[in-house]
Parts: sequence; structure tokens; C-alpha cells
Amino acid sequence: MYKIKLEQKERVSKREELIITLSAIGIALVLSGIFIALNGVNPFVALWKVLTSALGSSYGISETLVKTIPLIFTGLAVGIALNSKLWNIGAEGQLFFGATFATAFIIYGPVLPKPLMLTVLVILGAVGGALWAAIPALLKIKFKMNEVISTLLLNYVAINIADYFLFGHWKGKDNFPYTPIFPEEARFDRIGFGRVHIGLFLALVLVVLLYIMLYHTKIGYKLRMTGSSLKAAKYAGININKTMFMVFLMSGALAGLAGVSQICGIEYKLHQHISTDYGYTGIIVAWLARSNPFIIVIFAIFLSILLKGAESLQIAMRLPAAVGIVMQALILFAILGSELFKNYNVKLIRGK
Amino acid sequence: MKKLFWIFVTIAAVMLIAGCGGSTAKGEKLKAGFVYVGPVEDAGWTKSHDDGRLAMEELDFVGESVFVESVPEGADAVRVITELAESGCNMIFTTSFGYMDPTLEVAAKYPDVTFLHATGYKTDVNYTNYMGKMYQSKYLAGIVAGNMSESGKLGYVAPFPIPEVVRLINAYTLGAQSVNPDATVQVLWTNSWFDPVHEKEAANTMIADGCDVITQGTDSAGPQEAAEAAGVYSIGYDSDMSMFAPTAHLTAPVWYWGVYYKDVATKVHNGTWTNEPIWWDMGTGITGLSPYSDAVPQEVKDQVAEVKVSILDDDQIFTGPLYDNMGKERVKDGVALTDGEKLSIQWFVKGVKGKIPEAK
Repeated sequence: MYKIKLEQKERVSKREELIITLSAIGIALVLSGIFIALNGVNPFVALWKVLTSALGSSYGISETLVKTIPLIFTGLAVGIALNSKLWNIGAEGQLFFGATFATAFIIYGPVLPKPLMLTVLVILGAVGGALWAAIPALLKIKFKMNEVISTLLLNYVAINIADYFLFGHWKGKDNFPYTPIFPEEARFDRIGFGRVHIGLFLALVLVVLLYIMLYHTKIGYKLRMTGSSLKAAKYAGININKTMFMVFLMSGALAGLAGVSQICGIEYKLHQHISTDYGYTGIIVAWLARSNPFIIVIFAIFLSILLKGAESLQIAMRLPAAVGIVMQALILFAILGSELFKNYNVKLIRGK
Repeated sequence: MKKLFWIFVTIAAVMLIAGCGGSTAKGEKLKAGFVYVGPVEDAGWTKSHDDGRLAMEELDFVGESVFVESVPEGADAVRVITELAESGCNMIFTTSFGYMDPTLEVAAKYPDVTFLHATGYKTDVNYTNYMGKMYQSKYLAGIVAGNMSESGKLGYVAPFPIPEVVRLINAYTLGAQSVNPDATVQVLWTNSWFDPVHEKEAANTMIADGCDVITQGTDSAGPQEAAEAAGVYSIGYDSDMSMFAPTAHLTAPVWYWGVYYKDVATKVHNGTWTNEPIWWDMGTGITGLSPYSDAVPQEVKDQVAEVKVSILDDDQIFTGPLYDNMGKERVKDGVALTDGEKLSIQWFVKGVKGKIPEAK
């Protein structure tokens, strides 16, 4: 008889953490490979196809970047909350609410000169997302409500609010659920590389700013302190409630920006499909990146390649769409499983 | 640790041997690409298109076709359609309303490829839209439902309040009222084409409310399963859904896209294709009723057959007098709605219990 024994680890080095994360991804890829092989396709050929379709041509790279942009925003949104050990599962809803907020201005407000217009829209999107995140923040602070549940459920409410307008006041002349195409003033410029738009720069600037804030300012210190130990944070005189509230607002604002970036950067209208689960994929991105803003960019690209690759696999290999979903699930599963190895020494011992 | 390494090596080796990369068929055959809004096994809308795709492949000048499922109806669709064009497709079919503008955008960049969009209304030199007059088959299904319902209360699980869906609900209601003037149709919106759980819940709500025949405008078999479990009748949609509700399922108004897909492929092959939009009649065979279950009596079948002949002869389904469900007269006695009016209809006929959200 063998027994599995778990011993809590004292401390994990960065190096060890990295090795565990990378092996988890490796294991997930191997498992995905088996799944692909069971579908009668050579997994190495499939992997090659995924990589070449995403990175093998300038078109592929540009499209990968287009999908990376919203994932950076939502990855940052979830990541900043995770730094304070807060789970924001509501990035999807905040994305939609931010987009709806900005769209309201486009529909009811004046058409301003482009730089001013875009500034207003970006601010409104961030404010919208922050407002939507303020609800679970207040629920947590005032009533100790678990933010995992409240943020998740509010997603459906936010999407339904967007639907309310799309099927009602904002619907198209043809009675279909989308707003009119936005005027030129309300569109992000493209940077001259496929459909990649200036939302990418906005995202990258925020990555740098958040990194500086987190690791080189007092606010960032308070934030991380709240995450590592509530008791210690209180002892150090940090106002926990205020910090949590601020974190939620920032998190929501970032997700709201993902919404603006989608409607003004690529869709040019509000409709039901402005997000292909970017709010949820952002959770995987943030978790894989251990909430480090720079590493979030890397994993946003990684997941973008994977999501895009799943489409190419259907076209080139005739694999079902489910393959992509299974691969994503396996990666998340492996990463969550690897937590065990991060926090414990797992030993196989011979028992009686 | 070493053991683990060897296990991985073995697995990798097995994978290398297991699959051999697919090679595509050679020759000058036409290659078609399909963009689907749901999974192929949705048992409804997407399945009906995939059946049509396979039927088209039977033509000897059509090679192996390719499809992409569950494609989001937004900016992502542009990339998928582009990749299909780049992979050498001669014809690209996009099968949901949300692909209208993305397809238009890609069509402009690939003038040698023929683009065909289901359910929309835009065209370009190499781009057109196609649809069938499903409302005729829905009317026939309504006759079956009106005959089979005891309560006179019918339930309809509906996706979106868009003209196409509204038109079909109206036709179904008018069909039921042609045999039971007091019949009403309760409508519940799911705001999604494919959402099995939500659709099932909507059906259960209406069954609890006394509806004894359930039908749907959505794409999953959820409502059928709800009807089967509750012991009421059901009428499927898109594809024959009887396998999900062997006793409940009476019949289903279904799409036979193969009829059209074969026609397009032939015309593209012969160089006679034009970008004229089509909205085909039931007589072409693009829509129809799936085989009846044993529960449907012979006289109902005969009645439907008779009405079908009269519709094919002279379609008077949307001929006045027609009143909306607020009691207002919408179509005067003897006046018929034009195709344009049918295509943009945005009001429910009398007897439909449901609301269409107002525009500003």
C-alpha cells in the first residue's frame, strides 16, 4: 500500500514557482495532444498549425494582437484584484457595462472632435466598469458578501442591461439588435498593422503604470499587504475597507476599458458579441501570470494564440470547435492542480 | 522524476505515430467553406445546414468542404471568413444574421470567391443572401398544433424579437387559429439562438402555465426534452428533433438546405451564378414538415396536405383582415402583405401573448 503525504512548504522561490507553472502548461499541452490524437490528427502537426497560423504571417500576428488587447485589459483587471486576494469574476459584466456606458454617450451626446471624443469615451468606459464593480465592493465591505458570487452573478445583470437597450431604444433601423455604426470620431485609429488599433498602446501604458504603482508606490504596498495578510495590514495601520474598495474600482475600470477598446477599436458598434468571454479568459491570464502586469501581457498573447489556433484547427484539420475549449480547460485545470505542488511537498510513502 | 520523463516520451512517441496529418483532395473541384453559429450537433439550425453541406458534397464537381462551428457574430467572424477564403474555398456560406457585415467586408477583398449569407439582406457583386419561406411550413405546423392541443394554449420558445422570428410566430399562430380560432400562443424570449438550459426552462414555465403543445424558434432540443418529460406534445424546428422526444414530438418544420446548396454549387460550377437574393417557396423543397409521429391522426395529415396545395397555388397566409395582438387592424380585408412587409414585420398577430420591445 502506498500513501500520499502532504507537507506544507515553508516558502516557495520564484524559480520554483515558475518551473511548476511551466510544467503545468506542459502537462496540459500533452493532455491536449492526447485528446487531439484521439480525434485522428497528429498533435505535433496540429501544434505546428496553431503556431504558424498565429505567428507565421504578418496577418496572423496582427490578428493575434487584436485578440490580445482585450485580454491584457481583463487580465490586468482580474490581476490587480488578485494582488489583494480579491476575486473579480465579474470582468465580463464590467466590460459590458463600461461599453454600454460609453455607447450611451455616442448615442445621446454630441459628436466632439476626435481626441476629445475618445478621451471622453475612455473615461466613461472606465467609470462605467468601476461603477459596476462598486456594487460587489460595497456588498463585501458592508455585508461581508463573498465577491466571487456577487461579481459572477452581476455579469448576467450587466449583459441583460446591454440587451435591454439593444433590443429596445438602440436597436437598428432593420429591427436587429445592434446600435448604428459609430461615427469616425468615436473610433480608435489603427496603427497600420492589420486591424491592430491604438487600444494596444493604451493597454501597454497601463501595464507599465500598474507595475510602477504596485511595486514602487505606497498605494501598491498597501494593496499587496492587504493581499498577503489582513492582520498584518491592519497592524500596519492600513484601512482595509478603503483599500479593498479602491482595488475593486480600479479592477472594474480596467475591465470597462476592455469594453471601450472592443466597441471603439474593432466592432465600431455595440452588439451582443463584443466579448468572446474575454472577462472569463482574463481570469486564466491573471492567474497564470501570478498577477504580474508584465507577465500578464505574455499570457494574454499565449491565450490569444490558443483561441485563434482553435479556429485554424477547424479549417485545416477539421477538428471540432470543442478542442479549443478542452485545451483551455485543461490548462486551467493543470494550473489549479499545480497549486498543490506549490504549497505542499507531495511524497509517496510506503504504508502498511 | 526519471520515470515521469519516460512516460512523457512514450506518450509523445505514441502521438507521433497515432495521427498522420490530413491531406486535401487534389483536382479542380469546388471547395466550400461554412461558418456556423452553433455546434454541428445542435440538432437544429446548424445541423440543418450541415446536412445541406453534406448533400452538396454528393455532387461530383464538389470536393471536400470545411466548416467552422460556434463562431462569434462579431469581429472574430471577419478573421474566420478570411481564413476560409485564404484556405482556397470557392464558395463561403455564412449561416447567421450577425455574419452579414463581416461577410460583406471580406467579400470585397476576395472578388473570385462567391459569398452567400443566410437570413440577411445585403448584397455585393460576389455576395448575396438566401433564405426560404419557412413561415409557410410554420403555418402547416400550426395547423397540427391547433388540432392536437386540448387547452388551446400553445407555447413558443423564441430567440430574439427580430422580424424573421416574429414572422414565423405569426404564421404558426395563424395556422393554429385556422383550425381553432381561440388558440393562443405564449411567447417566451431566451435572447439567444442556442441555450439548451434556458430554452428548457422557458418550455417548463409555459407547460406549468397550461400550454400543452410546445414549439420553438431556437436551435437546441431543450424545449423538446421538456415536453417529453412533462408528457405534453411538441413540435420541433430546423431539423427533425424526434430522437429527443420520441413520444412528444409530432412533427417539425425543417430546412432542407441541400436543395439550395446543390443549386448554388451547380451555378457557380457552370458560371451562371448571379448575386440575386433568393427567398424560396416551400414548393422548391427548401422547407417542409418532417415525418409525423403516430400520434397525429390521418385526418390532420390530410388537412395539412390540402392546405399545403392551396399555399403552393396561392399563398394567402398574410392576407387580411389581420389584427395585431393589441386589437388594432394591421392589414385590411383582401389586402396581402408584400414580401418586403413580411421581411420587416414587427408586430404580433391577434392571439400571440408576448411583447416586442419598442424602438425609440
